[in-house]
Amino acid sequence: MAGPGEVPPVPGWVRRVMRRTMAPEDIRVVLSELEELHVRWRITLGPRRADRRYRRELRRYPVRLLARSLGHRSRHSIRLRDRTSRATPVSIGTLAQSARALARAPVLSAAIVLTVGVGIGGCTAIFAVIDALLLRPLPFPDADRLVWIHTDAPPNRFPLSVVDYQALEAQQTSFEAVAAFDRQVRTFTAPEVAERISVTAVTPGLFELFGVSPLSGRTASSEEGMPGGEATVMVTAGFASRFLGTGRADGAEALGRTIILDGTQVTVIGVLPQNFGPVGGDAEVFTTLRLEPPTRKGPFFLAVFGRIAPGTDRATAAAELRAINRRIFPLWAASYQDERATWGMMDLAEALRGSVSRLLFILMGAVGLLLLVATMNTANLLLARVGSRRRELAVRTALGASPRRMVSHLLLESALLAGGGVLVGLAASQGIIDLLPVVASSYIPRLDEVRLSGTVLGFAAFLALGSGLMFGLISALHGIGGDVAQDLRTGGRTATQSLRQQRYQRLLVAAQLTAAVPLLTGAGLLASSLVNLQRVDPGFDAQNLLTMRVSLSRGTYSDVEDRRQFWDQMLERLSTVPGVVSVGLASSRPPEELAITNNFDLEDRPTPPGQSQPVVPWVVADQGFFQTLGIPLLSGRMFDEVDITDSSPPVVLVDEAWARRFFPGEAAVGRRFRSGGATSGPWTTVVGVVGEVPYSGVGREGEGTVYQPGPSYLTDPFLNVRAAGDPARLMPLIREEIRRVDPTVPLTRIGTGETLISSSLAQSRHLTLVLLTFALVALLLAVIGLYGITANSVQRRRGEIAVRLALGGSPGAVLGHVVWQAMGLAVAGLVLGIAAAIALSRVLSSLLYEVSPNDPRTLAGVAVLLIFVSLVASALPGSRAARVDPTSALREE
Amino acid sequence: MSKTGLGEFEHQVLLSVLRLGGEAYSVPLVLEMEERSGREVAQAAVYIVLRRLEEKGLVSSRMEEPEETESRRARRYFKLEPAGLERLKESRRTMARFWEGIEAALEES
Repeated sequence: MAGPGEVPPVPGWVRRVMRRTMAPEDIRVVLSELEELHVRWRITLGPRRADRRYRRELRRYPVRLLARSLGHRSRHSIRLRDRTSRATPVSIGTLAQSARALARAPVLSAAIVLTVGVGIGGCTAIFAVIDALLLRPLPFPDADRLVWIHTDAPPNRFPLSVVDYQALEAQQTSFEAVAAFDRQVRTFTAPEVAERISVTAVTPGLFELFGVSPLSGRTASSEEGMPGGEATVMVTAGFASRFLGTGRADGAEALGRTIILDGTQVTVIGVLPQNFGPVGGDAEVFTTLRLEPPTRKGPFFLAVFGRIAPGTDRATAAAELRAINRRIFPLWAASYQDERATWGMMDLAEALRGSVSRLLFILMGAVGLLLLVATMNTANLLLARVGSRRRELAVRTALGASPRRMVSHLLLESALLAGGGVLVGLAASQGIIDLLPVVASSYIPRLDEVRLSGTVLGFAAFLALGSGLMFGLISALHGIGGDVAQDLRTGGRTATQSLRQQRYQRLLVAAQLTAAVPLLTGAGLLASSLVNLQRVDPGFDAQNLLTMRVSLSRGTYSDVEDRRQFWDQMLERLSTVPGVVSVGLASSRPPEELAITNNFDLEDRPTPPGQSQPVVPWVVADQGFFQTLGIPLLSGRMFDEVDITDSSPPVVLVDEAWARRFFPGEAAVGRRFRSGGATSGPWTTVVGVVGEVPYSGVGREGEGTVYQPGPSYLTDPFLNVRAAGDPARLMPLIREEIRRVDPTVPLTRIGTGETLISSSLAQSRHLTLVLLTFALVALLLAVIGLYGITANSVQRRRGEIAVRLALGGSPGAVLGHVVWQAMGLAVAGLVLGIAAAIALSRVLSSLLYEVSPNDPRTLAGVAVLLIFVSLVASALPGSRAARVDPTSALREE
Repeated sequence: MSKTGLGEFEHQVLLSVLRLGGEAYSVPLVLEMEERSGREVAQAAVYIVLRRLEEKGLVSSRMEEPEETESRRARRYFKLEPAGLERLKESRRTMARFWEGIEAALEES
């Protein structure tokens, strides 16, 4: 009789399966009865065949369990061990199991969490901006009834004038209230400070209109809004604590104190919350707007807001606006003739949104594509992993796990990955949100309101769920399908399984390539647009140019003669500073700081009655301005000493764009016009044409600029200094010289010509950089995917390749075959991607400069890049295939 | 009673238990079934099917611990229950109805 020691050992994996499928008692019985059979087989079959039979019987256990359970569906699954099938799909235990499974592949898990996290983070950050700017209601009570009221002269919308506002206030019945403000820059002086600050002059009812109440003190009364009323001011709590040294949060100590604005003392009557919402801007000081009785219809500078009365519909309110405008039109026809212009209103939220929504949706689309690529990449990685885990999964199925349970196990792993992704994503998005005000505040408004609100967190969770479900389901459904019994024997390395998995993976890689193409195209288009913009001749010599704003306080320099004296002295002193080549003053600064525009009526081509006069940038400049910026005189003459004096007949210079626009092919010099809506008085004569300089951004079509001689009108012009060398070095000397003329004059917005041009391209540059980064990451992920499946396929087909080589196939042909297969995918992805890119790139057209959204060169470039990297990605595994040693490869088989 | 009839293998196992006296463990069952079928019969299959039939109430089982047996081995004896016997009879009746009248014809061809 054979003892227990004589039977062959039980293989580890069989023992493990048994331990997890069967009660200990059953295992004991089964092994014991098998030993008994082994004894019989030794007698009937002989020892060797008995051992073989015994081993075969052992291996049958897991396989039988499984085959039976699948064959009869779960209703008849063998439940030798009760607890396996009763456990809930998700518990701490299963969670820990999934976490352990992930920890066994740390690099893969980290790569997934990172790529998905970055995608989710980008999407979330941009969604946070969209939420703050576009979705969240404005932080005012009943904000949906607030409207911005504007002059509507298609295609332009511009503010109202004093005449307009007063008529509106007196006659309207559709609004609970209307109010207006004017944003100004004023000089604030304190013992140690002379600073230019934003000041908002508001009509007394403005704060009430927006439902903002002061933390302490009061808002201005309507008497203070009358001409000759007491000069009072409201400040924010932040301003009070910085400049008035208040300690209390409500800043009450500041009440009754005086501050000096433009040389005049004003009394603080109220302290406002730190940030007075989106219409407050960066203003910290609020004066009361005093509207003097107007003498003409213009100028149009008042931002007017209304709160529609409850129960009044918008159409009624809008109709009333148009009616009031029509009523007052005849009264002011002498100074304003555009009878097509009317008043319109726009929801405040929409008015504040500006043109930024397009930019945000482009960014959202781009980062969404990136997340899609990252998700598909993850699905691909998980598929490969599931493929290599089929035996493990089969064993789990053998435990009596139902397909539902298997899916939930695999989904749980994906959920953990997505959860990790969302954590990384939230950290990343917080980082982006913190960074945004630093880099993007010049072209995206209200960034200080952006935060990870509940809605945003919900969106992040939604993204994580969506992307987790996508990569989870693809891998899970693949994981549970097929003949599990066979998988137990082969470890999942059967031809059909591989084929199915490979087909999924090829699809995913092609889809990734497809999604990467629009990103690459967008990045390419923006990059060529940026290159074009950088090549644009700004019209002035930006090198060795230093510019800054010099601001005189209106109180001290209310007299023209005082201003003239200051400018004369300052220019004279500066021209003697060593290293200064020339100096000049102008009211606006290229490339994108335009102070005012003005309308005019040409003597030769009068505007027909009832139509609006042309409006163009209007710059007050002295003689030195053109020389200092290097703006050439093209015809006629420059300003001379006589032009600068106020008594001389009015003359202007115009730029090339003006001459081209109004007198194409004719001489512009000598033409005359009246400006500002005047219908009488002396004609203004064009005495010269100068080169074109942009005032509303590099690369923008010039509308034609008029230069009026100055600078005695000016209180806060830009000073331009042409330096012999590094302009930044001159700054201390210039500051010193100006201080000698008047130490209270602040110098702000200091910049060199180069920094001005560079910051005017900031949006374009940032957007290009962001899209380029997204595109390259997407391409990298897609190409790694392509490399991965090609390498896999080469590995799997070693035998086949060896046979080809052994039968005399050339290594070159093998390489070609591998590369050819990969390129099929690349080309499919490329073709679909190009179609998508052509459909999508139209949204970019408004951001492109001298590049068509379907620029064939860019598309060709993207195609070449994609094909090239795909060639590299497939040639690497391809060359490995070509070097397969047939004999050793076949021996392995 | 279960709605499904017996599978062929289940049928064979139950019949073999009956043939071995109404109570048996896997070793004699495997040998008996191999002899009758002329094919290799997997012990795993026999054991698993018996445990499942037990779940259905067609057989019952009892353990024999090593200390209690002369063979010094653990065994699980399965005993045919009345329900199992009833099921066998029913299967036989059903099959007989199907075979009625064609037995001879099949024999001749």
